Order: sequence, then C-alpha cells, then structure tokens
Amino acid sequence: MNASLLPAALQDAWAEDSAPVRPTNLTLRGSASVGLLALVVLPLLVTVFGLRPDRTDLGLGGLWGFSTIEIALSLALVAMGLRSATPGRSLPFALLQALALLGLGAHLALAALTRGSSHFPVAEGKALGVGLFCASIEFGIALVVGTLATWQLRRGSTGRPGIVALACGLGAALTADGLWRAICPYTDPSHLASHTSGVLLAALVLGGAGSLWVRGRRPPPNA
Amino acid sequence: MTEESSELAELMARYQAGSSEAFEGIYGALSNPLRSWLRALTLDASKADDLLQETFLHLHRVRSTYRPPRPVRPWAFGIARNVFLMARRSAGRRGRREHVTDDPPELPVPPAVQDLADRERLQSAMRELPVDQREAVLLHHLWGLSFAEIGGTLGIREGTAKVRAHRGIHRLRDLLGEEEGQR
Repeated sequence: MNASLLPAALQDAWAEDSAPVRPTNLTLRGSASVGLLALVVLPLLVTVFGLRPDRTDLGLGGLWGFSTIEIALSLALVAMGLRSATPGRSLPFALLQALALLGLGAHLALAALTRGSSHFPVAEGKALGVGLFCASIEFGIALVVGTLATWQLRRGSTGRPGIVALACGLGAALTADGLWRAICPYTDPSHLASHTSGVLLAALVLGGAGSLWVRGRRPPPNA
Repeated sequence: MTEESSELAELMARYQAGSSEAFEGIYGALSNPLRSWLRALTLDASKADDLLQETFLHLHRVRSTYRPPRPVRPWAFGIARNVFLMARRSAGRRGRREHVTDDPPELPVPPAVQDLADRERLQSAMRELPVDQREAVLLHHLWGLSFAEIGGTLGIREGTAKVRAHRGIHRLRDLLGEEEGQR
C-alpha cells in the first residue's frame, strides 16, 4: 500500500480489517431477522402456554389477523429505524414519529376490537399478579427480539442513535405484543394497561441501551 | 449517474472487495470534499481535520452499508455528518462550550454566487448562513446532490431540502447584495 496517501490511523485500520465485505441491506436484513425470530418464538409460546382459550370467539381474523397487523407494523418500524442507520438513506424524524404513533395506536385499537369480540375478565383479586406476569413475558420477548434488531445497528451509522434505537426498540416491543396477543386472553382495560406498560418499558429500555451501545462504538476522538 | 459518480461507485465496489488501492482511491477522491463539508459544519479547521480522520475510520467500519451502484457521495457525506453530530453531542455532554476560532477556515462557496463578491465577503456571507441552509446549499449547488439525496443525507424530506437550498442561495445573494449596497 502506498503509505504517502493515507494517514497512519487509516493504514492501521486497514491492517486490522482488510477483509472483503458484502454490501448489506441493513433494512431488509434486520427486519427479516426479526420476522423470522417471531416465527420461531410463536410456536414456542404456543407449546408452553397454549393458544388463548377464547380463540373460537375471535375467529381467524381476530386471532391471527390482528397479530399479523401488529407484527407487520412493528416490522415496518424496525425497518425504518435500520434504514435511518444507513448513511445517506436517513428518514425524516416526523416519519419515524408517525409510524411509532401508528404502531401504538394500532396496539390500542386492536385491543379494543378484541374486547369487542370476546370478554375474558381476569379472576377476582388476580389482576396485579396476572398483569405483572403478562408484562414480564412481553418484556422478555421484546428483549430477545429487540437485541437482534439493535445488534444490526452495529453495522450502521447514525447521528441520532437515540431515535433510531427507540424506533427499533418499539418495533421489537410491538412484535412481542403481537405474538403474546395469540396467547393472553384477558380483555380487561386494566390488563391492557399492563400489556401497554410492558411494551413501552421494553421500548424505552431497548432504545436507551441501543443508543448507548451505538454511541460507544464511535472511534475514539483524536487527542 | 455522472462519469465521476460511476467511477466512485466502481472504486467503492473494489474497496468492499478488499482492494487497498481502491481504499486509497476513495480517500483521494473524498477527503477534500469531506474536509470542506466538515469545515462548513464546524467552522473550525482543526476540528474539521480531526473529524475527517474519524469519518474515514467510521467509513471503513461501516463500508458494508454502501450498496453499489448507488451514488457514493450521499453515503459518504451522511457518515461525515453523523460523525459531526455525535462529536457535537459528546462535547455537549462533557460541558464543553463551542470554541469560536480567531482564524476561521476557508469555506467552500457554490459556483452560483462566486462572481458576486470578493473572497472575503463570500466567506463572511457563507459563515452568516444558518447551518441548515449552508448544508443544503453546498450539497446541492456545489457537490451536485439531488434534493432526494440531500434528504437522505440530512434525514429530512426532499421538499424541505429544496426549500433550505432555495432560501440559502437567496439569503447569500441578499447578504452579498446588502454588502454591495453598503460599499
């Protein structure tokens, strides 16, 4: 290598890492990974917990249709977050914000529609315990899915790590809710609050962690 | 795509394939425009030079995110801007105030206004532009990025990029016209 053109630091960087790389479509790769993981997690959940007992009341549309809608929106959110981590392909903040609101709105609307089809209350005195259980499960699924999504960020570049990580985190959290919707039958408004809390908490934790992680990968500034 | 853009895209593809000569070629082709871009963002030559190195280190690390045969410049300018934003954020968290240099760097000037005044007044007018207009003016009028590409580089809508560039050029002409009127 001609040493006269590149500064020493770049020569060192080349010496450390000169392997060929394949052009990567972060958007497609990340959202497809999350989608595939959701397909793997769902049968596991069904095997462990069983499908929700009110599935006959909901019908195919209310059961799988609603989950599909929520997961599709969440994958779009992950995709948009990762696209914004692709240099030169960043999306306007307003668009990310609109999709995030659409995702949250769909989460609430689908829950309301589900309640319209099936009334499955939590047993007397069990609301807190069941609520914490569901929120924890959703949070756990979101962490698994979200870690995969934010892991893709390491390949990317963004000047807005907080927003990008939050978009990916919220997408992962809504994916978790879309999956858990097929399992949890409870339709009390108070139980919806525990679902939503789990989603939002997961989004914030993933967003914050993702943001810190992306910032930490910045090359050290010159002395 | 212009011939220069095609050549850059080809260089990038070879760089991704592991060619050290191509890496040098990319550095040779992009270091001056990126340095000028960073000077326009930071208004500080020393800071711009530091960030230029950081930009290329970052570019090397995320080189897989470039997808041929897309234009290289929006991708590279986007990385430089990200590095600038992260550095500014870090400086803000460390409580460092922005250093106002006594020796401001030479800023790039779009061809559309180069004949309107002398060097000193052009530089003064460029520095006076709001940074979001300065970005859009330079990306479009100097480096030839389309408004869609500017949108992707800056994370704004194409229409917003167009408005900023338009207002920026008009503001420059006003500044240079005003100064002319004051002479």
